[in-house]
Amino acid sequence: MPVDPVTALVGDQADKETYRAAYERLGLDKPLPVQFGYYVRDIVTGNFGTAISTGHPVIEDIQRVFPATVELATLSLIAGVLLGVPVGVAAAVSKGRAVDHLARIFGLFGYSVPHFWLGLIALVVFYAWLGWIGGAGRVSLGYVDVVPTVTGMILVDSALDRNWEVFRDALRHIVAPALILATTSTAYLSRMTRSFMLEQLAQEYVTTARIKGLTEWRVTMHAFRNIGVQLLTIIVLAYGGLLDGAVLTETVFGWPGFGQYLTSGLLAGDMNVVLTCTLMVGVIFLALNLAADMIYRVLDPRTR
Amino acid sequence: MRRATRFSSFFLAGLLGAATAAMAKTPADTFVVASNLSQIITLDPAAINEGAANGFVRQACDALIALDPNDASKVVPGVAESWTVSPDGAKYTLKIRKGLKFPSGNPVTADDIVWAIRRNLQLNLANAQRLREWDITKDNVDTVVKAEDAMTLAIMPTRPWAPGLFLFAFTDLRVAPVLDRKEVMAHEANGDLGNKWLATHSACLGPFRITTWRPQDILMLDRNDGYWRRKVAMKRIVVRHVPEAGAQRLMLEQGDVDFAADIDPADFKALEKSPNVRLETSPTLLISYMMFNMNDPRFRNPKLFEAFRYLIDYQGLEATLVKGYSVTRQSPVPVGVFGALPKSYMPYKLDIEKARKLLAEAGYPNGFTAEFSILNNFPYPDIAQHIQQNAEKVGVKLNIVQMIGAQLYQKARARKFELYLAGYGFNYPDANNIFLRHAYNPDNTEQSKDTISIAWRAGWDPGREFNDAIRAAQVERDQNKRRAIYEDLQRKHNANSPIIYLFQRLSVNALGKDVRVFRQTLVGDDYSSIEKR
Amino acid sequence: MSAIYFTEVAHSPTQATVQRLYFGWLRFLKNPLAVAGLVVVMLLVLVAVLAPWIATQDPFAQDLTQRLLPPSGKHWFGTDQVGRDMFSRVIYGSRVTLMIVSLVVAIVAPIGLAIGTIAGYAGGKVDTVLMRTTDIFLAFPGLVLALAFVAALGPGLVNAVIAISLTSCPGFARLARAETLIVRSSDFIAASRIQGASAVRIVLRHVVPMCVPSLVVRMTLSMAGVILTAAGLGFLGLGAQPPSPEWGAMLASGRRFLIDYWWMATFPGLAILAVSLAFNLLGDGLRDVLDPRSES
Repeated sequence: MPVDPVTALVGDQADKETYRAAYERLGLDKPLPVQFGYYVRDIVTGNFGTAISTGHPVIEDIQRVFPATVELATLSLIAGVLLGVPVGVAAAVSKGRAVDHLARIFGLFGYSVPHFWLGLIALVVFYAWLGWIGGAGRVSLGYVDVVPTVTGMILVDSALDRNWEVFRDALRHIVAPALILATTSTAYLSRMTRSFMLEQLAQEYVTTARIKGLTEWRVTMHAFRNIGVQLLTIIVLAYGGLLDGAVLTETVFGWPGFGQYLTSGLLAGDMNVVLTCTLMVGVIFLALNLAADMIYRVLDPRTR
Repeated sequence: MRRATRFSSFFLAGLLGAATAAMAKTPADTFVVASNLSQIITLDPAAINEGAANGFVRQACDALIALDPNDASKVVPGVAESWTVSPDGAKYTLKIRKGLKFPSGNPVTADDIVWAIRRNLQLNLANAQRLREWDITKDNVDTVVKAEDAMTLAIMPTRPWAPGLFLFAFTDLRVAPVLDRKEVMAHEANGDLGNKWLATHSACLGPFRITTWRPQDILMLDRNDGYWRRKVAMKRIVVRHVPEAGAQRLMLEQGDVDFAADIDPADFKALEKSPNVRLETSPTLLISYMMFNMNDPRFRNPKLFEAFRYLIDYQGLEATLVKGYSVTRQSPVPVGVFGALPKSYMPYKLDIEKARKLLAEAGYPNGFTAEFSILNNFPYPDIAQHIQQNAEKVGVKLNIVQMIGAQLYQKARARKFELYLAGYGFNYPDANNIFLRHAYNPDNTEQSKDTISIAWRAGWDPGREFNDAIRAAQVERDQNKRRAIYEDLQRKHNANSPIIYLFQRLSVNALGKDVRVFRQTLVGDDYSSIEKR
Repeated sequence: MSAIYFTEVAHSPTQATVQRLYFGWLRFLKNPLAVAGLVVVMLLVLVAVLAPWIATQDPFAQDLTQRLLPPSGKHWFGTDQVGRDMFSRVIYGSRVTLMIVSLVVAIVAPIGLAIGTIAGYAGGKVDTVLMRTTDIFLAFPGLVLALAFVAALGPGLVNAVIAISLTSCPGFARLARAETLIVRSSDFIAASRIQGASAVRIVLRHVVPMCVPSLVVRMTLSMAGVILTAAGLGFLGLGAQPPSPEWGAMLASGRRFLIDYWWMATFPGLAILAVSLAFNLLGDGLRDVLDPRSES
């Protein structure tokens, strides 16, 4: 890593002795394989090291930042599902016509837009000009630490505490980053839904149903029910993809989450943070993939 | 379906709530700050190396000697109520103010101070070197700093420093914080002298104490009643982590915060027009500079350096790009510092033809190509592009490479750069600090111990006379003579060095309209003086 | 005339290919969105090539007295913080974008294809090793991985391109492998093998051409991601260095001025959006035409 964590720690004005002392304290004077060996040994015993940039153990930091990202990602996913799936169905049903084309553009928009740009514009328009949403951060300053932390997710915690004022404030703050983050998953889900629905609508049973005189609506619902398992699978996968957008979205909205933590760790050359976060991301993705696999296997009657 | 209606009804409720809520106001006895807290690593005075952390810990931690709030180049009685200096400068006797108590209730004694200084050296973290600068080391600290009795401190420096100079050392909390020894040691773990605990707590004498710190999230300070210096109006200070300068500005305009610490100059114009905000400016000890690496055989001729001094439109940049943010300063010693040449000292201006002539005299009639390493945050990319464009007019092709501080300083430390543009923050308002850091270079080889010196990093040997003059000024007792030495050195610096000074930074405080008083000094802001409507 | 050249049963492989391409083209034209995408992409290439003639001013000429001017007759997109004409910069930025896109394709296509086809055709241990490696890369979101690479390599356009290419290869390789697996077991491959063709020859002359259609589609679709990632890296200061008019870097400079001087960030952002969308639409359209398995 070309970023020197020692300089990041002691600053520009450190003299040789201070630098050397910090260097040794970080264990960087030992050869690389030895350092890696220490790291592995530490991991196995549950010690993921201390973050240079916060002075806290990485595990503690991750425990602190992770719920924020989970809250954001979950809300994003819900938004993505609520927006993307109906759009996908509508597109499949009216394939080739104007609605389909519009839905396509709408969906592709999510794949094509720079999130950080959208985030900034959202702040300017909806916070500065209209005052509809809250500013940066998860809650307004008056509501920090008001509700007891149970899950670390402010929406959940305030609901559990029945403190609706805080809930509303938290909602105002999460709405913009969640929707912006949702653009990608909306795109993905609408495309996949469309594709699944088209598959279904081409099946014989659909033609049969139509002949039998069922309304288009009922036919569509019928087909929709059949893609349920596939949908669930891709929803799980979409969850993982949200991490990508989270990195920059969190920066723009000052959201103290995992993405921001990883980015600042990367830019500061904080090896402990980078390695641990990388591991976590890999594990999460793996877990999500396995979950999707299992859902498919358990729920899809065809695979039994 | 039901989920959708629930979601949308909450959404609408949120919007309605927002629309009917009165414009957010901060409580009258709480000062709310929006600042980028990502650089703060620790709160331990022995380890703080970065400006933002220092700025906040200063509100919780007094240093032994105070600076005049109206003129930071003067020392005034503080925790050290009075002092005497022996005629030969060999002994300083300081009397600690009586009746001072830490937030824990423990009384402040000379022992605490001595212990804090010793601790600084024993821990040997980032700030130990600030003592070593004054030749106070782990080995001699016990003889140099002593508690004569409970309320008297004696310091016997190893060199006869000019008294006006030496006292400055103890105005910095990173050197001599007034730390609560009993409290800190009560939280000691594994002989770390409380380092781990102090990383996230404060136990100092000060107007405030730190009650909460969540990294990259929030920092909160509560008032300590009975502060010795004045009656403190603010009961609590809340610092919110807002990494985006634009978001800080919006929060300020909306009244959600009282003070935006990192306001971007791009927002000055709009903020000046806003009725909810006022901007206050004051000079700082931060400067911007660029330099050549003389270790590169191409960059040895002083005429080359002089040529570049004429490639920059200082006034033009000051009036546009860095307007309200920096002022032209063509000397390493910022205005307001003891020994500084007057503000009007401005020997260079944009002159492409002169630059071209000098460049030819230096042996580069056709210019050259070089890599220009810079910091990637404002204003450096813009200043660099300006220099790049002017350089091209005389045939010099500069390739800009921007990077974060840690990477850039690494290059400087290793002397592996060609051209370099960055900022620098000095520590106390005496030219000695400036020249030690930016000129003093007795050993220009790789084995040098003084690699902290910018002159060393630029590979510049100022010459024996120069180095000696710096040392002589340190012990010169006549203030006027000292000043004369420094003024002469500044002129010599510009005539010979590969280091080109560009600007002195201003501190721009963007304050909400409810803030009546907010005092800034050359070395930082003073939150104990804040008054709100 | 067409009766002579287009017959129901092709008379030669070349004619078959031409016929297929022509009918594919006709089908493509039926999709207005795809056509729009193609037009925009072609526009991008045109603009990039003709930049010196389209741009109204020198994109590098600074003028401190002309800073932050709003869009006007003289400066169609306004000026930036050092007085450069935004319109010209956006135009010239198309060159940077095109260069990034071309370089990434040039790197990813052959390497990804090679890895995928080798893994798919050789099977066994080679397959396992190659696929596990790509799995590791695929475990991370694109931007994070690219960020890690650039942080390790250092900032700059070339390093950014390398980083993005490295993160795109695995997905591409997987696709190539999937195609290879399907093709591998087909009859004509078996026939070739019986005729004594070497593995290399089979892969090159038979497997690869079969992969091309879906790979082209995939490549086009991932262009949007490449452009966004490059913009993201530029936004963080890790991509093209100043004064290069890369759109992402321009967004970063414009970010500070977004509230009062919206034009600095808006136009590059719109440019990124337009080009990304175009590649996506184009890729979609190509998929409809080239990949018969995708939908009815």
